[in-house]
Amino acid sequence: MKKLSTVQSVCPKCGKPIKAYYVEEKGEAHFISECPEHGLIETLAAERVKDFTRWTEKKVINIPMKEAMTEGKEGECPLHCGLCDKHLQTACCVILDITQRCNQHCPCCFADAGKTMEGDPSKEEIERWYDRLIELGEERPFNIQLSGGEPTVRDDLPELIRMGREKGFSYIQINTNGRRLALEEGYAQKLKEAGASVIFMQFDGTKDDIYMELRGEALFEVKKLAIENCRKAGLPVTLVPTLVKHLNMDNIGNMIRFMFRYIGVVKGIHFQPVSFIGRHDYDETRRKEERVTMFAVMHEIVKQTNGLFRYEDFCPISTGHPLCCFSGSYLLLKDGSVKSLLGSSEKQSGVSCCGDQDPLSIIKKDRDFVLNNWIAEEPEKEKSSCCCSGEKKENEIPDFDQMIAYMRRNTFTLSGMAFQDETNLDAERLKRCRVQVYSPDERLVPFCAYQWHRR
Amino acid sequence: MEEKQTLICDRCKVEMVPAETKFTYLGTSIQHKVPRCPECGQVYIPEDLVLSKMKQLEGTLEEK
Repeated sequence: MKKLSTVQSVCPKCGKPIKAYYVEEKGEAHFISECPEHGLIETLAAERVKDFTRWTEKKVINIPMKEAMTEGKEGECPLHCGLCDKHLQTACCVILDITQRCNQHCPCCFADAGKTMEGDPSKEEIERWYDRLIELGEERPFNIQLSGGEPTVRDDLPELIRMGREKGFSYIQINTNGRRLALEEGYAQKLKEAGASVIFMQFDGTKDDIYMELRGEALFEVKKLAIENCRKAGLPVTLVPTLVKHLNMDNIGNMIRFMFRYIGVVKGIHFQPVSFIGRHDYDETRRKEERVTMFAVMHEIVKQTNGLFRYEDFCPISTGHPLCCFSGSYLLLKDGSVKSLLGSSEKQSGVSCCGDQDPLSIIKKDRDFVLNNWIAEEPEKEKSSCCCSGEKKENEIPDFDQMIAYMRRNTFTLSGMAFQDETNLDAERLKRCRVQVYSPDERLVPFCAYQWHRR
Repeated sequence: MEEKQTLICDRCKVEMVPAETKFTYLGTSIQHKVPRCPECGQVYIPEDLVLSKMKQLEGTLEEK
């Protein structure tokens, strides 16, 4: 066993801050936490240690938050969350849980939702949250995700979206199972008119067996109907699969091909390897059997799409911890191939997830990349026989306006987020977390730390 | 009366003439008429095209 790095974690049993290590073992990377009282816990970090070391070499750009809300202590993350003054990154996306109710009762739920004992926050309370978040945001307000529970169970959801837009939030994402969008005529249109930016939709695969296992009922038709209704309303959708090793990892290729059928309304797939939080609270053996790393997800994307995607075209988000996310942006061409939209600098150092909030250098890098992608061909070259001329012909579009419409319609992302659970909490990752929950007691808490605190 | 504007190729010193040109952007092509030198094939891309359609097209890739 070879030690790769030392970090700080917390013991899953007593909750005390402890040392933890990333180690190389039989070609794999593992996370080992060590409590003097409760012993060792080991979890898989990457199936291939080379993937782990190359990925963690990527540079991270820290953009601190405007205001700390609590006082932290070195070596005690995440005991003083709120955000504490030791946190290194401002939020990108802030999650507001606007209800604990849900219209499904999934055996697996990150949020452990469905309980009715707590009342929903009032509209006035949510207005106060919005106001506080506007104060805490920098030049550009945070992106907002309205979540829960299932946010669409609140009949005033369109009003809450409208209120957020009027307060100045330009990006409001709705985290939903899609059931109401599918079953209520005109509901997608209502959310669109209220100002919803995107539907972040639970979508675990293209077979009902998967839904039976994960959600307790056959839901594939419901998902298709929800997407169709969003298409009619012009409301973009991101598909969000929870990946469980023996359940739907082999369905990744089909999920991507499914997205191609709905390209234009479905703008991407955001894979979430199963994390043992909320209702996924399994014993150690089951965790080992079902744990999926984000590296495995990237390799499966490549493997299940016959070389359409390349592992090298994925990169981390440069303003977060490299072990938390991967991302790739693409254009689907008319001949069925895909073109990666990331330049070599992005692949090297990561992509920014919200350009206008990040430093000028990131913006400049992004724009330089786009600038270098035009080719105006000489007529001689055009006329000459070329080995790839047949392929190019298929990708020809009549004019600029149609090309703009084509690009809008056919760009998509493949991304993933690896959540932490109590067995692999890494303070370095938590300190750089940009997906934060605005808690009922009005603090900003990194998503994974929030789940840990709830326990 | 409006004066006819001519563009002279800096390299060949001959007048550029409007010609269909193939623009390829990220694997996708279109034909668009822009002034081209009949001698060397160099094209002139007018500023209004750059600031309107081309900029708009690039902007679609920066959208979230």
